[in-house]
Amino acid sequence: MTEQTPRLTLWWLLAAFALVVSPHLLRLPLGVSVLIGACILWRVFIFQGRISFPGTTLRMLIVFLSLPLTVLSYRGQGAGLDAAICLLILGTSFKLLEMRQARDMTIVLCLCYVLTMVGFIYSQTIPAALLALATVVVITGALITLQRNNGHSSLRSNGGLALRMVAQSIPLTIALFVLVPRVAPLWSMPIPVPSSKTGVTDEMSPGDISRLSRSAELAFRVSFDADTPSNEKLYWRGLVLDFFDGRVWRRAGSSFQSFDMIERFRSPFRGETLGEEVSYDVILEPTQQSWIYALQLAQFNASDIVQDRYYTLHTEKPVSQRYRYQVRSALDYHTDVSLSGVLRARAMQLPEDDNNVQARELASELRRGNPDDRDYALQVLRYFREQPFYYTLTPPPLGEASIDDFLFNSLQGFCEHYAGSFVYLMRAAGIPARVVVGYQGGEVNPFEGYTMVYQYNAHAWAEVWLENEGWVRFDPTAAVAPERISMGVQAVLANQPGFLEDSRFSMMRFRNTQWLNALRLRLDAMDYAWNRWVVSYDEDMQLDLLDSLLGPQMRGRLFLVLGVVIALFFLVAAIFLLRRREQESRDMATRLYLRLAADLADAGMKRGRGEGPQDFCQRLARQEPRYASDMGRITEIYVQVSYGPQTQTERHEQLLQELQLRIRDLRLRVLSPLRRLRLRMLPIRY
Amino acid sequence: MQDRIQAAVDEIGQVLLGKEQQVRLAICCLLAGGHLLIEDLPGMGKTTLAHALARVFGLDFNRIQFTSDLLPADILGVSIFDQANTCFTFHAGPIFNQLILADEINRATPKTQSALLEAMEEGQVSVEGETRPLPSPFFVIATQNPVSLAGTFPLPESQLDRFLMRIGIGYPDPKAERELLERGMESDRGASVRRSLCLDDLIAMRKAANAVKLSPLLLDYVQRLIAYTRDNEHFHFGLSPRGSIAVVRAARTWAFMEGREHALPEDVQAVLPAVVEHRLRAGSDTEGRTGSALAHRLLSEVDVLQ
Repeated sequence: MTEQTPRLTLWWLLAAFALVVSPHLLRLPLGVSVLIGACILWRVFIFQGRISFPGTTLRMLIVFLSLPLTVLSYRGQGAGLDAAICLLILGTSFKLLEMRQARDMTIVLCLCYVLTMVGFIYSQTIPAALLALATVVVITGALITLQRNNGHSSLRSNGGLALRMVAQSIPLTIALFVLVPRVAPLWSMPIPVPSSKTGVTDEMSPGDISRLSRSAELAFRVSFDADTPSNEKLYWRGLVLDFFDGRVWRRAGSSFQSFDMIERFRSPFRGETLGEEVSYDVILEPTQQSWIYALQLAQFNASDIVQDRYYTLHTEKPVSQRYRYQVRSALDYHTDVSLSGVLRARAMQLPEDDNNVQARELASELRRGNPDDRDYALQVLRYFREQPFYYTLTPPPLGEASIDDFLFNSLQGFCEHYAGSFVYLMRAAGIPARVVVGYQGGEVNPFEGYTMVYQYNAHAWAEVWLENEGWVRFDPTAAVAPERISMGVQAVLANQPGFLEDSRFSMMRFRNTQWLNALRLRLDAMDYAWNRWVVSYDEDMQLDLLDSLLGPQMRGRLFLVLGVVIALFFLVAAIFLLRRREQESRDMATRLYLRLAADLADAGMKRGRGEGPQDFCQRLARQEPRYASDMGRITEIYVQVSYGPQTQTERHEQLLQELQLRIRDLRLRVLSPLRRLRLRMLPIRY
Repeated sequence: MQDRIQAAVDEIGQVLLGKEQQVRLAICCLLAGGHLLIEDLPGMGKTTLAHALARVFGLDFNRIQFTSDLLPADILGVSIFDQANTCFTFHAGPIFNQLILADEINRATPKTQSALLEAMEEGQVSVEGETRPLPSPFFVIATQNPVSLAGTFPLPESQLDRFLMRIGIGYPDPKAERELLERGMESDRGASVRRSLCLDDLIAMRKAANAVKLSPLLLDYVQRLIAYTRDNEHFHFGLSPRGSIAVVRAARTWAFMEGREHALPEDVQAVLPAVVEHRLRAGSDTEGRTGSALAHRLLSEVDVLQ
């Protein structure tokens, strides 16, 4: 029974454990990572005979110290999931230090399987999945070496068998993944929230957007149902910023722009679609923000998305995992043909202590020649085009009166400068206008035909309210650097210092090397397919897929068959377990009886080896009459339960319970005081 | 039914004083449908017990006194030429009875012994090429003197194995002996035993005994016992499957006689010495004497619960 831990298995097991823990190591607190490493080393040393197994005291100490260590490391991080996972990993590594028998190894290996799955909480990418697959092979290999005799000890035979077994299980895994009905979880798991938010923020001050252009990270991917619209139409609208304090653009009344508030005070849809619509499907990378991006004018059929009065789409919770949604957008539209008072007031707001004197003068000067709002706006765009403005990622810092400084002094800026000053000039002339931030353009992946939008595609532009037309988009950046819009930001900025500065090793920097660029696009296409078909495979997709494969009638039948198969499986398992339970209850009665007999023997009343329960009872009654009645009843029940007709009845259960309680009582009477105390502390099983 | 068994036991107890355990074992053996071997010194009451058993069950009864010149034909019967009908007619021997008392079986030659033993095992006899069935039920109660006494042919293991039980009777205790002496010698003590069971009773009881439940725990114990005889060096050879079946069959009947519907380890222990003693031989025993010491070793060394 108590087999020593097989040597070969130990190496497999340590390898498996190291693989399991590796993705967690960087994420875990340093102290914990060091502790895990120490545990592995210690186990190796035990194997080499340099150190012995830790004693009980030391083990207790480690366990009790690891709890505060974990709690302290995760102090102030609301959700307990991280801490719980940390404890699980720590516990598993401690188990290494008391792994003496083959049974312990099985436990550790099972924990390794669990930890492999836990890894998917943090990362669901292709590399993570491949790593998990490799890990599963190694764990299986370890289990194989544990079960096999020492005859097969070659790495090749064990590893080969493990590989074969995992490979054989893959079709079943896929079938289960595709077919097993997806049921919503009974509880929602608190997903760990990385502290840093990415992408466009809800404030815009000079320099914010240009900072994003240093990053080659993916923002989102879009696949259009029909043809992809041309680049200059792809204005991915994020937030509308309509409050200006002289330096920073913000959202007015942002406290009313939460999902709940919008849901509660839902205003009627004020848009009017003209012409054709485009439908598309977006997979947004996690942003930790609760708004999502779409082309104006967006409509959707999702219950977990709402649209506010600025036509911005909001999700219920911050997007902390890849988020997929489907939208229809009309590229020709009218919005807010009659503008409400509040929105008009917000769109006309200027800072109270405004010191941009020159800009106001410019506005009134231009306004004089253009009483019509549209003419005026076009005039301002012309102004941007004709003056020597320079589109750059690294504009000089601006002074106190930022608009004046930019318009008349530096003349160098990125899109946020142009959009901000454009809106300022509109408002100064009494025309409602606002800043919109989001992304512009995108790169079409030639292999799969979807569009990739990166952080450096972040953009800011303006919307101006015109009589009879509603909000109309104006992009002053296009006036300054038209190729930015038509060809994409990378074409314009590729040679500028600062572009993609934060992504030094990104393959994006080598886009001019033909084969590397192709490789990059291939990899992204794979990742996209993975996300689209695997990670975001949910109930709806399952139903769609089954419908397209089998048709709706067959789907019902399939689920029926599947249900029957699963029900049969559980039925067989239940019968098996029940039969085992019958066996166990008999065994349990004997176990209890033998424990009592052992205690009686300690008290000087030894049952002879060949003495049957009734004979023992009779002898005991003669020898110790005070126990006669108790022992008599216990023996009666024991004989009934153990030798009587075997029925899994309620009566049987009752007898078993009574037996347990009576044996406990008698043991309490028989035992020495110290051991009596110990028995009292043990729980009663029933 | 247990009352009637008790009545039978009491009835026999009147002629065999103070030997209730042996009487019960003997009855158990017959109820289980097995043959009984009674082994003891001369004059201990073997024949009395056999006689009383036959009477109490009310069976057709015949006694064969085995001697060294007894021939098989004396037991089985012979065909004799009938001059009136000018043909051979079979004259059935004493074996064609429901209960045979084979007195002092080990005094006969092996040839005669085997004639009886074939009948015991098969329930039929073959005489002159013709197979004739024996009456049902068919019991043999054999008595024998301890093999060490002069003028005996010891039964080989293969033949001993056919007896379900072998019991001894032993000296009477002082109280019973006193009563025996006071009562004086009666000419035919067996004749005073009244019949208290009938054939239908026997069949019903056998049926009831077969319905006694054996729990897995009990069978575990029996298997441990058997495994012990096979693995332990003190035993020259282990119990045969026929022997293990005999243990279970006897234990069942014993449990039934005790009025239980399931067998306990105590039932197994009660019948074990009688059932296995004659089937076992000690490892160091070259003379073929079977020892009750081995049965007692089994009872004390093998764990009832494990």
